[in-house]
Amino acid sequence: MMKQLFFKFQNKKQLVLASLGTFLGLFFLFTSLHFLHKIYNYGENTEMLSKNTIVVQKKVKSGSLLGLSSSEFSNEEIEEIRSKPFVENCDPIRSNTFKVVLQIDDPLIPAFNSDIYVQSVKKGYLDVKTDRWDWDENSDILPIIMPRDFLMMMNNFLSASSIPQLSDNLVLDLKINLKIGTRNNRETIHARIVGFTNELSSILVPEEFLLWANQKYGEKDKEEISQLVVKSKDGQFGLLEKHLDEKELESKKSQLIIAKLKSALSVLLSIISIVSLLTVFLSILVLIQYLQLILTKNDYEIRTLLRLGHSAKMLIKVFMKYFVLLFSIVTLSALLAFLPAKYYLQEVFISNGISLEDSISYYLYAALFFVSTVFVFSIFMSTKRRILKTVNT
Amino acid sequence: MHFKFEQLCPHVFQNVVLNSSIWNKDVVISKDERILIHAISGSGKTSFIHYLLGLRNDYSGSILIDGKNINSIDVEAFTEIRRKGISTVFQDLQLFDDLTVKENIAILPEFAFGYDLENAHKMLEDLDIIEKWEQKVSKLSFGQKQRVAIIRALMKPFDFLICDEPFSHLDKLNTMKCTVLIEKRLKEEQAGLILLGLEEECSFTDIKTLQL
Repeated sequence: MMKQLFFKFQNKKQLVLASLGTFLGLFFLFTSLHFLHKIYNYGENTEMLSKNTIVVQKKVKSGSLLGLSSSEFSNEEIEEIRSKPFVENCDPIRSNTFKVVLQIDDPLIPAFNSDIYVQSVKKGYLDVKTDRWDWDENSDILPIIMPRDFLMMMNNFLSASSIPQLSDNLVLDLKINLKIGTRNNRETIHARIVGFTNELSSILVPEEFLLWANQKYGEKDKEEISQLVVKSKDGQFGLLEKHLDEKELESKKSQLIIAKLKSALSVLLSIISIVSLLTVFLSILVLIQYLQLILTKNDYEIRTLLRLGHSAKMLIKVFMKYFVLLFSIVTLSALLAFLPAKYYLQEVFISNGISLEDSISYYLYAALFFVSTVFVFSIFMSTKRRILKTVNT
Repeated sequence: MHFKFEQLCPHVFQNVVLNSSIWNKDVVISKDERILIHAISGSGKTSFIHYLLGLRNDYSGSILIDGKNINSIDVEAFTEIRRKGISTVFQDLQLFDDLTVKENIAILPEFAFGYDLENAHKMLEDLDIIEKWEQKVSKLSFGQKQRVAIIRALMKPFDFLICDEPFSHLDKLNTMKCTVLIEKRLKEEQAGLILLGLEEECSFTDIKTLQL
């Protein structure tokens, strides 16, 4: 009956506009904050090369093609890099000297075979737990690190076959076989992906495996060293990059590009978040103004009910219940709209080679808590102030 | 429950010579009394009721309810007094025009002990407006509205019934019927009556007259 009494003269247009504003503001706030967090954390847990570590190779010049200069590193050249004060460590990247075919044997995706080459770096350069990277001849599973380029290529293949693309988490569960050796002397090794890298274009395997397989199935006597892994001392990465330039060495720039991309996207999403937050607050202000209008229109009713013995607390509760219910419906709608938007945008990111973690960001829950608290507090204070003022008139 | 007025005087009468037995006097009204406050126009009748209900405090002197200055009673405690201690028939009735007669009574925060909507329905019957039970108050004449306001005030628990010109638009017969109903409820609640009116006489028995 109270609701019927208080909310009889409603300007529905203003209410609908304010609710729509709150809905849109919350929707964009949830979406931008979620992706801001995910983009910010992108690659943090699955990127396998440790901090300050890069892969270097010699710049390809026309002389290389004519055989006048070599793209291989000599022991002296490796030692020279090692001796620099800003270098913490430097080691060759070993490559396979045997034939490797990667085969995906998983019901998730159609049969997939590809000739690949594998490489290995010493454990110290990798951010991977030692027990997950161990391998010996008796091991059932070979841990491997997948280049992101390869994952993107695989997703393009799946997309072209109208099959859903694979996120990082799904790829980590794929059953993979490596067929090594020639047709007459072939062995199948069961492998599992333990992480991803942007620095290398080849699949990384434990050094123990590569040494064993090169010895057993290798087709060349001598291994060629065309790439090095170099780790600079903390805060001296710039000196290392300068030295590489001087020596006409180059590193893969993908890490840098990803950092720039993350930074640009973060700025963009931060701006969207701030604008969304402002929209939410402006809409809340309109809702508060609407509440004030209702309270003013119901001045007589409130005063009479107080005179009959209704408590101010009970009347505040009637208004709170109405507006909190309205806000809950709007918030729930924004959350429901966020879910398909999140799914769609995640697909767009995956198809561009960026696989974001699937769970809903806690930034969203924090924003939800913050906005709800501000709303409930504002509505409560406005109603309380107005009703207590009416008590004494 | 009792009221005590100590040198009570509205600010607007501060420098006016008054011939009143309430303003600028010390007066006690207790629960077992029935008081007719005879008030001519402009003597501060509505202000007096607002002071009693703690709605205004533009006065000098003090009002005490059971020995406690009403200015020191907090909002919640005063709500309790309005809920159970005082019931009022306002001059402007304070009904909700958009609600039905039934809803206007049902909206009370608490019914008197042993009373419910059925009793209100019976009271309407006694006052010859039973057919208005489901009608919106806006459709009623002022006299009918006055009777609804009286019934609503009687449905509450109270120690004091305060009525501001409750019969101003009622004929003699309806005034008598209302008086009987009020007398009955005063007895049941063992409550006091403060009746404010323009006349020096009224239909109630054992009533003491004070000049405002």
